[in-house]
Amino acid sequence: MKKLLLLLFTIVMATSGMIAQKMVHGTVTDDSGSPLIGASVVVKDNPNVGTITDIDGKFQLKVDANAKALVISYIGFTTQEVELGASDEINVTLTSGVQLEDVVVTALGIKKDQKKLGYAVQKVGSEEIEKSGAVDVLSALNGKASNVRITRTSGAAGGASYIEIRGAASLTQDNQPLFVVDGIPIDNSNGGGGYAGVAPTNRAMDLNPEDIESINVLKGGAATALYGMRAANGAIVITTKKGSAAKTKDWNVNYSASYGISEISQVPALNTKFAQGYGGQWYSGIFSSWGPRMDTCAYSLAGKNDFDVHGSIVSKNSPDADGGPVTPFNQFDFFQKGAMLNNYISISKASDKGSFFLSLSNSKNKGTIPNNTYDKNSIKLSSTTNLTDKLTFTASANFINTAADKIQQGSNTSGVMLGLMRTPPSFDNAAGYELPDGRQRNYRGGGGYDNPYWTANKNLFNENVNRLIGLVETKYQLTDNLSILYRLGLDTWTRRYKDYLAVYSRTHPSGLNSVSHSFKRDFNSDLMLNYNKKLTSDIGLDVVLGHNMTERYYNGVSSTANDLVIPNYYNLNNTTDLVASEGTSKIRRMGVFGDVTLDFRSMLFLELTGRNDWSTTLPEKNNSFFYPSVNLGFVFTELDAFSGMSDILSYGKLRASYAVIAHDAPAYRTLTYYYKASPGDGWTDGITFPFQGSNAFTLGNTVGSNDLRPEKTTSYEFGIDLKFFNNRLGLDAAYYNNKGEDLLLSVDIARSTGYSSMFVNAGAMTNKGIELTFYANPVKTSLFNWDFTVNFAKNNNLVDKLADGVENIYLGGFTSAQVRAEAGEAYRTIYTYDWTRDDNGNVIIYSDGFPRGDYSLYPVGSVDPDFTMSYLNNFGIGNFNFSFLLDWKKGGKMWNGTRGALYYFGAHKDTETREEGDKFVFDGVNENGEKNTIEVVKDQNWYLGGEGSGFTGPGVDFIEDAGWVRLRELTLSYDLGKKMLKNTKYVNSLSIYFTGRNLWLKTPFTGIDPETNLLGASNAQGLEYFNMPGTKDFVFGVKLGL
Amino acid sequence: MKKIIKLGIFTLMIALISSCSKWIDPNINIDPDAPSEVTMELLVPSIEANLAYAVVGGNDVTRPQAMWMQQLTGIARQSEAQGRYLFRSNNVSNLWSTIYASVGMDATQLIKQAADKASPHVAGVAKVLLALDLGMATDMWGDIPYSEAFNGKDNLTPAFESQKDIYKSIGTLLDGAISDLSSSASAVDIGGDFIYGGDVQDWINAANALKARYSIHLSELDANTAYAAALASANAALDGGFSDMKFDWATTETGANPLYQFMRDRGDVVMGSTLIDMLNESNDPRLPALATFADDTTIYIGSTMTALDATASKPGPAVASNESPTFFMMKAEVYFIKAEAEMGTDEAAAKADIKNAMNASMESYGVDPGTWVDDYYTANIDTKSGAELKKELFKQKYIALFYQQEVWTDFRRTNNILGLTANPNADKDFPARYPYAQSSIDYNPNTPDFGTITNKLWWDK
Repeated sequence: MKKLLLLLFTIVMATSGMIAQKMVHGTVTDDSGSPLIGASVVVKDNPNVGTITDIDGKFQLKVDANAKALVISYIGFTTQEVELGASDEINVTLTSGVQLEDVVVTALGIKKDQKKLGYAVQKVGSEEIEKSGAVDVLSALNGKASNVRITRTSGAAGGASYIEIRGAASLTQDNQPLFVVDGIPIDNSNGGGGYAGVAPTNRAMDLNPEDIESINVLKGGAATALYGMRAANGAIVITTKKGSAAKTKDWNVNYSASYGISEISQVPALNTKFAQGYGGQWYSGIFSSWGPRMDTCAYSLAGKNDFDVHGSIVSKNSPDADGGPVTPFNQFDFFQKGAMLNNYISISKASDKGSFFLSLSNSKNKGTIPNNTYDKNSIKLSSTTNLTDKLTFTASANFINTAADKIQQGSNTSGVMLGLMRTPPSFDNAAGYELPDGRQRNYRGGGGYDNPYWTANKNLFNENVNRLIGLVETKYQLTDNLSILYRLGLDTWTRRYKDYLAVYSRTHPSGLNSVSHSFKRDFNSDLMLNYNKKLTSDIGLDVVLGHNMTERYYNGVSSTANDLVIPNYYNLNNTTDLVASEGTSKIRRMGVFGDVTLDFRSMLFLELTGRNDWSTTLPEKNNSFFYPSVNLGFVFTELDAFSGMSDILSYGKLRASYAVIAHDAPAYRTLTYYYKASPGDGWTDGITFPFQGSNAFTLGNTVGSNDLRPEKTTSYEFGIDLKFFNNRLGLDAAYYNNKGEDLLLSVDIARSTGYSSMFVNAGAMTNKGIELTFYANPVKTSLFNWDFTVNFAKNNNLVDKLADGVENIYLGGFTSAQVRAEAGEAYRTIYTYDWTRDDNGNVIIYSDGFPRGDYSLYPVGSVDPDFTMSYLNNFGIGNFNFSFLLDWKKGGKMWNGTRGALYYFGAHKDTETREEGDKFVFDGVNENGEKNTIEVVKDQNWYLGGEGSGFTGPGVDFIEDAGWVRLRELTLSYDLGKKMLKNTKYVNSLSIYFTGRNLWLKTPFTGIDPETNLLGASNAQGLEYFNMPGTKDFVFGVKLGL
Repeated sequence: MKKIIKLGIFTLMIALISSCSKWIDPNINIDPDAPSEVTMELLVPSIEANLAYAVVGGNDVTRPQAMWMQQLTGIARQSEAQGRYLFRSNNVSNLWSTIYASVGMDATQLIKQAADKASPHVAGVAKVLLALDLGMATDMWGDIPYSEAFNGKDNLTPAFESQKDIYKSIGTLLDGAISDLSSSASAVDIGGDFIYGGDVQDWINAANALKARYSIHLSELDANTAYAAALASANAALDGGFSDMKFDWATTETGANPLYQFMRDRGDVVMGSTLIDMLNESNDPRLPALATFADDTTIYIGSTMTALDATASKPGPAVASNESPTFFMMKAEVYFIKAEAEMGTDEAAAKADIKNAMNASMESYGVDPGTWVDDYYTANIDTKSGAELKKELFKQKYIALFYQQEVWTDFRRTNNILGLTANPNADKDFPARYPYAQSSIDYNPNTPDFGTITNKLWWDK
């Protein structure tokens, strides 16, 4: 370690000698002769040496005497290469068009020519993000990069999104990629949710999509080896907008505003024929919808009471039938139209002295559930100053405030969908939720579940987050070949929430008030040395050496009042039962790394990296580990043999890479601890200590381990990148194979050991697959442009093994349907009870005409899809642009627990066929193997008393195909071009657009939009149990550039 | 300028090297919010509360068992299904976990710590609680792990021992407890004890009382030995001044009785007609304590297993209010055991003890019987003998021990002496055992195949 740094010193000293240099200068203009301000001028093969043009389009640059050429580029124009000859003056004219070679941002903020990379990086630009109409960066990114699966887990405003690249790499730890903003890794926690509660909001949603310049998706393996442990799952590298100059001015002001409306998309079909009741009879306040046919009923005014406000329900022919006919209420009228209003303004400036960027934004979102709101306010300031021509200093700060009001959802007697959908169609929830004495009015006479109107109006969860992401960075060009960079970043947030349930709420009839404050502070320090030299005329060398330190600290305090003495007064002093708790977590890591890239004639590129990390989460004897990577890129079209084909095959590259990535453990796993005792069972809240004035501790249920090692993933990637017809056609294909070993898992162990789990390095899991991106621009004329991109990805995951004696790991779910990782199956396989079947797999139908359940848990399908594909199509007609994004997810199963529950209550449309005449024949064979022909009626005896529902019978019939084809985005925009605005004094650009999100959805899933998850952004995906329905959104926007 | 910058770089690098070793400080990985050692008086209440909440008075123990014994009727959802004897491995995983990973493990740790700290009184309490934990478990599952259990990573798949061996171990634990509690000195006194407030004699009595119970469980195997042992232990307990072994809950929502919490959060059970009919028939003064009025009435109605009457009486304030105690062992039970044990040889003494039991039960529920016990005794107990008397004993025990596991144990041990009829909506006969927990089946290959829940345990002939 110390020797390494001494070596660095020597290099620093030795290379400050003199090398022959010359000064070049020139002007860059566009094809109409106007100067291009802020155009990038860099030395070919040494992009660290460069500058930008000034207000007159002029530049000056000191280069090595042996520098071969300059590369001049500007967004929206074709990059040009100009050879450096005898003359010191270079004048360049750029023509508008698409760039052939992109500079991408790789790990640690190192910018590299995509040409040189031996692995795939997919880039998504700001245009695609801004016009997506999405409120957060994850929703904006959805469908735009192959093998990046993003799931919006709740239709509520502020609902979290789960993101996974290339499949799960870890069995029990977070499988989401690292989010990096301007070189600083940021926190993306808080996304996981519980079975009951409100929709969580993951912290990456705090970012403002309009501040983003580009997103580079690093999919893992060699791409992220330099990030160390946190990037085992890939990285989303975000670069925010800095100063950029307009053509004719220094200052650039951009204003954009958008307004949107949203409504719920699909919902399950409910029973609309049969009234509240049991056994065909109506009963006031009964839990189920097994009552009489509503068309044979009428109201009786004599039976009116606080709950049955229209009267009791009697037969039409009864003498008391004086209240009019009984007609079904549409319970989904509860939902409203959501609305969104965004305002954004940015001011920026760039010159050869540096750049400046300031943005302010406000986003207000009203959800489709009454009183659900999600608002974001952000201020971002960033400034880069060229203190000297060698020394730059950058500082940036982004302050964000997120405030949300959220409504209860999920497996929760106070959850909106649970109460709403179990309500019989004959009960009018909307006719009042609170009685004069404060009791609740619901279909169960005040018991059972909360009336959704009660939930939305009386039970509120208010959350407020203040976040600061800041960095300072300084870069010094020691010599032409050697630069040093130091970056220090801070990401800190405080989150406050207040969660209360009113007295008479079903989950907590005595009321509840919970207040929580939590604080997070992440530091990241990077010191990097970059050496770049052309060793010979054919061979170039690029070396990066670095040192990294990070600390992640969390502290939270929460306090819950378990009863309310005075109703409707939500202060912690209003209780007889107050319980508080505190939690802390601190992790530190340190790494040293090196990256050597050799380039042979700009044709063959070899990159070697090595990183050694230390982490406090592993036992001292095992807390250091080293992992290498190598990647090779071969741009074979640079060979002379291909030069004649360059009109057809303009670019072709082969890529191969190998990388080892390690991942440390969660904090505090090396010892066994005692915890405050909390006796309970699966039915009730249980007991909290201190109790009767005493405290009590119990030995924790997870055994600590002093033998923990880091998890290791070995990954191989091969790929090919081809561009045809001057970039009118492109194909990028990649194959990868990631093998994870020593995966840490908290394995359930037999409870008779005295513990319920232990943490071991034992698992192994493989992900292999392919990614294809196909791009074509078939029509490209000045009047009409048509281009499209197809992204395809297929990932095969297999859990190779877990631990000795451990057959499976429970990831999440219920006793009757759960998601597990099981050896020999894919990660996230759904297990549930099945019907008894014969040896050929046919369901056995017994002599009564019904099947019978087999109450062992069997694997019935995998949550992750067979493949995903997206088709992004752009039509440009003059100033109009019409684009749409079709997203196809094939396969992947989901447990529709909602339908299973609704069958029990007779609340689902499928249970309408319950009368004598509704004959049904179960599909299966009888005990002799012959096809079943017995006719039965599926009535209350089957759904409630028998095995026909999710509560009483097997869950296998409720596992549905959750694949889809959807029109994720549709955008129509009109851009007043530069030519039209040329004559206006102030306006530089103006466009108006309409974007529709999720306008069309086709899926075999019979519940809500299957892009959802009960447990939020957590490993346990594939569960739908009274989740909030998804939405479709209509957004209108305008963008103005001054 | 260049020199200043280079100096700056040097300083930065030096700062970073020197912070290297201090940065990765292993002390950071010690959880500041959780201790790795606690004192004994913090373990005792955890064991007692877990045992009381989830096992002795547990919603996965006495609630389903009381439904099977028709003291309660399940009217909706899972309770209704369990009332029809639909009871599966997944229903008992939480319970198995509490019995082993919470109560059993903490008790084992406590016994070790008490030995290290030369505090036999505390060890005695731990042994009694562990014996009860195992006793409740074996009467549900039969063969269970014990001698290979509680060893963490050293033995991940503990062997299941025969119920016969478990009963031996329970006896050993209780004898050991009595011996420990009888020590003259204990370095640390019993602290954090919610049950007896640290009184050593009370714990000795409790150990003897439990010995009596577990002895009499073997009545179908060898009645004479069982009764002799039970009688001796029952006498020892009573002579020592046994008082109810119970755990008192609090009036707060997060300190309340488990049945109260179940009725509050779920509902789904009402009083069963079999029990209510018995109480109504004899005008039993305990009615208002054990049950509430049926909805909108001033009478007590129990629901039959077929009517599923949601308006029937609910469990009453003595058992289902927030501070209703969970009875580990009532004095009434000790008298009943004594009565059963001596019935073969001394009917008169047995009859007297039945009356003692009934009076003790009244006291435990805070009910003043007036002359009712004496009147009932004269009319219904004194007049009987032999098999009839035995049946009356168990009838009174069935009422007095409402909502305790012992009722189901008596039912199995006497082959349904009260003549209950199985639930007509069920597809099987009365359950005679619990299914092994799903977690045990999943993670311990030594878990035996229990067949079905109607298969009898070792002591159940």
